[in-house]
Amino acid sequence: MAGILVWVETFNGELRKASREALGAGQKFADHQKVSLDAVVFNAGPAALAELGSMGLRKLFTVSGESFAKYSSEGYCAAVAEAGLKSGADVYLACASSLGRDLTGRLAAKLDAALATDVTEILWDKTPLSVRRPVYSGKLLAQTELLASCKVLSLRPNVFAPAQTRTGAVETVALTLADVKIRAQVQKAVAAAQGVLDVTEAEIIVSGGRGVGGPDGFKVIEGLAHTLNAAVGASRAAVDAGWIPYAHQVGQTGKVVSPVLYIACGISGAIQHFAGMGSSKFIVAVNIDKEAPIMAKADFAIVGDLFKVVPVLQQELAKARAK
Amino acid sequence: MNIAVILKQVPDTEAVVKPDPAKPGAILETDIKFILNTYDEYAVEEAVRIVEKTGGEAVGVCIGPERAEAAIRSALAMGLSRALWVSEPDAVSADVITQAKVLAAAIKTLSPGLVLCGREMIDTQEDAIASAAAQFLDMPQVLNAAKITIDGEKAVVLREVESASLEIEAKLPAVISCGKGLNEPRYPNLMSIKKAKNKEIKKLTLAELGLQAGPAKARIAALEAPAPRAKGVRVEGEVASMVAQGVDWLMKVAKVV
Amino acid sequence: MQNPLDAVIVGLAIPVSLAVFGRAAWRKLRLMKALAPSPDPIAEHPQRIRELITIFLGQRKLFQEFTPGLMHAVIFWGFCTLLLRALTLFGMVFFGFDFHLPGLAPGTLLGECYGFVKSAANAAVCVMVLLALWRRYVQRVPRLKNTGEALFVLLMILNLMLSDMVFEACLRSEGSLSLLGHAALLDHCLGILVFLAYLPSGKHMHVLSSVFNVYLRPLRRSGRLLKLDLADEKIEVFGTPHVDELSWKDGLDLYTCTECGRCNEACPAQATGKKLAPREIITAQKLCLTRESGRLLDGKAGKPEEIMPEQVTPEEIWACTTCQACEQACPVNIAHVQRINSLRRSETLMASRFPSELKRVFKGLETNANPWGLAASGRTDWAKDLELPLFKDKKDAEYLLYLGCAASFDDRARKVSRSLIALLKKAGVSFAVLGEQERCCGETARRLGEEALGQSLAEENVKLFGELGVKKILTSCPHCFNTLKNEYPDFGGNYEVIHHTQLLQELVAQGRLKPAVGVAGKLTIHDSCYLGRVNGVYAPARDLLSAVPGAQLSESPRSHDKGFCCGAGGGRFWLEEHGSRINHERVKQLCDTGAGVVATSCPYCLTMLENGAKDLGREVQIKDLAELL
Repeated sequence: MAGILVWVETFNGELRKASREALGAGQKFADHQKVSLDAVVFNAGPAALAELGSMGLRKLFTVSGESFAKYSSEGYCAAVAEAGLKSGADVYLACASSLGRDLTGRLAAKLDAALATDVTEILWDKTPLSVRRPVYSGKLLAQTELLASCKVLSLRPNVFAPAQTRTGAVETVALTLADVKIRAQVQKAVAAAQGVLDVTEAEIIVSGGRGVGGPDGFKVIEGLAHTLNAAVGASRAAVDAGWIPYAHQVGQTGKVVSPVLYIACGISGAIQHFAGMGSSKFIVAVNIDKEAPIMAKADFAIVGDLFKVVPVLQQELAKARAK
Repeated sequence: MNIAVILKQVPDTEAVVKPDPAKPGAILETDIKFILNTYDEYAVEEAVRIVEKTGGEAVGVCIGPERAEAAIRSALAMGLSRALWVSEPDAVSADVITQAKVLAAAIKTLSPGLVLCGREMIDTQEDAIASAAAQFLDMPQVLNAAKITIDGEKAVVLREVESASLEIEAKLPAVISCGKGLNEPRYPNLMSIKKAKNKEIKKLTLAELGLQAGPAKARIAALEAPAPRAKGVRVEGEVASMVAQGVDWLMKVAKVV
Repeated sequence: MQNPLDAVIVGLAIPVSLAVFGRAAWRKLRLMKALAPSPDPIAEHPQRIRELITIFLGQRKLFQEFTPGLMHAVIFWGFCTLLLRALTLFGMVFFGFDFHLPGLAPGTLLGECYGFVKSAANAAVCVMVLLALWRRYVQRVPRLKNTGEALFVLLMILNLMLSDMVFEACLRSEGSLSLLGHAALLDHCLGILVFLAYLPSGKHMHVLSSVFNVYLRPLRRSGRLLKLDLADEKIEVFGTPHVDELSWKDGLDLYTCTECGRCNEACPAQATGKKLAPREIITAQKLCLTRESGRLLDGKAGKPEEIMPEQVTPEEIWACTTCQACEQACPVNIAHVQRINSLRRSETLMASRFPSELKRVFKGLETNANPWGLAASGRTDWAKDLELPLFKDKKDAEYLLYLGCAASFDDRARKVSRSLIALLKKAGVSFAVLGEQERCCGETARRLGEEALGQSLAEENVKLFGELGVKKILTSCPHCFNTLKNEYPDFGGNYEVIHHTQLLQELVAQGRLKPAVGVAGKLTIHDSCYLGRVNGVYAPARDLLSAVPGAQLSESPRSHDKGFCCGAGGGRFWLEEHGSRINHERVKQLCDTGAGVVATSCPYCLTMLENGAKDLGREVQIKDLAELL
């Protein structure tokens, strides 16, 4: 291995949490393989620069300018490749965020590299460079060897430990690129509507059923959804009773969803509903009836009155998020 | 406008996949039902709709073994007019970047104004085909489109990212990958299945595409079962204690906080 | 005194009437010939003759509603009796007022009897016609369509009766005939001739065609849908998107409809305010056929009129639960359900125009052989503790216990499966299951019009059953029961199929099972449409309940063949229902019996009624018969 280059993402001038994890992985990798660790960052604010300055990086490439003010796959790909060239790195790391997924494919093609996306484990000492990543909807793990001379990895968020603070000054190199061809541009960004159950996959859905008791009951559901930045769903019983519009119905005659987390409150979970959310990664159920079908199918089942449990759950989650 | 649609045949989501003890890195294929990649359906539907409105041809491009013909036929039954197919084992077993190169070579022969594909392949869970192909085709890319509007020489695409919707303009020709909810893919009925039997599927060799099989860039050395899914936890009793356990679980196991 | 003018007038009118009648009737016959051949063989004549006697002559189906049944029966029987009188009157016109038919001379016993009978008939028919008019215009019975044509027919009949009575009165009182008498005689004869000429053109044609429609009905009941030929590559049209694809029997059905509306009254979709009204579907197609008749007679040249989505709307056909209540009620044996199914077929197989919820159902069936699209392991993972023997390992098992998709995947139905399996084990019944090899029987797909999918499922099952050597099948789902029993022979699968309530009844009768659970208080039975009305199986439920300790049966007025559907059939279980719910309506009916427990024999009914009870907040318990033993 010649060297590692990490693409660091920022949000509002600060480092993204997942990028800290990518840097953490970079540090560990560099330690094991005894190579240098570089990073490239776009539009970094002072806070980001300060943080990046204390991670034991060898070189930090900063990119700024009109063309790079907003993300574009062609622009950022060109810049990262240029940084890689200057860095001499042959392993590129990024977090598998939306933009990370957007960039790494193009970058790997440009560098004629081996690509592994959504990596959940790096085998630090193995040669050839090997990683593990989930396949077949997570039913299996693929131990993948990257054989090409150049390698690009995107790392699954919330898996790797974040970077540690280290001593040692970093050499900051400002990159300028001329004449970058950018043919796809973000024109505008609209904040996602709150709580709307979109057919495009919501990450978290909080759903209410017969146990919610009435349209007012849904306020409790919506509260939890808001705290988790989640969409609101409903079982057929709640929609039929007129407590919430049909657009929120999940089930065999409603929408089929597969979020990372599905929280079912006051829903019995018979197959007609389960058919609509059974492929959720994690299922949490809150129900006063411990024999309700969903309780056996949930990964975490809370036996209790949703009107007592959900508000407290919302409170505690808000606290945990704030930390 | 001619549109190229990238297709892949994958095992059905409900299929029970097990590693093949005889072939490390591969799954046992007996008893598996194969389908057209779910996300590719949105791409096919979008392509067919655009072509129905503005004319031109929607052509499928697929890398896959012999059994993949069924998936190509179902895409033809949805309205693609014909398809190109590379079935050589070197291409079929290649890594995603190499496959993107092969697909790009095949797509070039169509001179398309737009290239569509599914946002992710549900078997390998790779989403890089679109961006890699875009690089090889020297086209811009937009991934995970929720809405596509063709406006003359450009495409206006709505894309969902974390906590925002982005409106992106891409100059055509471009590569756009399609996400769930882009459209409602049509059901291939008996009539269209019958018609699809007569549509052309042209097999292409790597040589014809001017490519050579090279050393693999990456390979799956082994497929392993993940750590067994923890049995469901049930908590009863006092609200505060249940919630504390719940929050702990959400943070450590579900990792959503 | 006979007036020669009468003879002239009538003598001229007869050929005119016959010409008009003949022309119209001939046109209708040619139209029937222009339509496709009927796929149903015309065989089993003894049964057909029996039905002809009971339904046609005996007016059996009309008596399902007593008063109008009696009314129509009297009019019909009266008319039959009066045929001889009509001939006599014509004879009198030409041969003088002493004319009489052989054997019916006035003064003879037969003659006097007939005279009496005829007068009674005249009077009775008059009374009944007045009743009919009362029902239409005073009582305003909802199902009756008060068209001009209906009024015309009733008034014509009344006129015929009155004119005869007036003529008779005049003749007897005067010996010779006053002007009134002549007028009455002419009125009667010309009236008959006018009626005759009109007959083939309107809904009253049922007078001529009903005998054929009753006789020729497909004995294949709608429990067995028509098998489409999907293998023939040349066939490009599936179902009946235009009248061109109708068979002559379909055409006969359409023209025989008397628009009585009994089907509407029986239909559960109509009862809950849906747009679907079986009569209007028949009428719409009849009108379409009439409009298209010119083109059809011209060798089917030119562009055909599409029946859907304008003449018959998608909303109507997808609301059908295939419960067959309409066919049950129809006095002339029109086959509404297959008619609707044929429209669903062209919508699904050709136009891909169906409610969007069904796409997942079809995909699930195609990929995973069950409508939920769940992995096959779901059929067995709930039953691991039961250690069910697999048929492939135990080929000498007497019964294949074919659980079906609902009983395998639905949590509530799984409970019923457990109860049933416990009973089977207790009684020592030899059975085995298919486990993960089990695939949907195909009923849902066929009812929804996805005939290709349904046939492929059936064919695969027949192949599997053949390989396993299956002879007897026990099932807990009436839909599977109906399909395996009545439809699989079309695919080469002939098995002895028994529903679990039938087997349980046998076991109890043989003493191999003693009902132990017991129930306190009143029970009512909800008859499954597919077990009951479609297959005529009502007795096992009653027998079983009479053996359950403590059970007091309180039958719903809508039970047996008058049963009201739960709303899930015809694939509707998978469809969203808007407006008033069929299952809610049924739950209300069942609760009205005062029963605390409803006994069912179908997993769909079970779910629909339980959900309905929950929605309405009713305390009533819904249990399968297997759970009550």
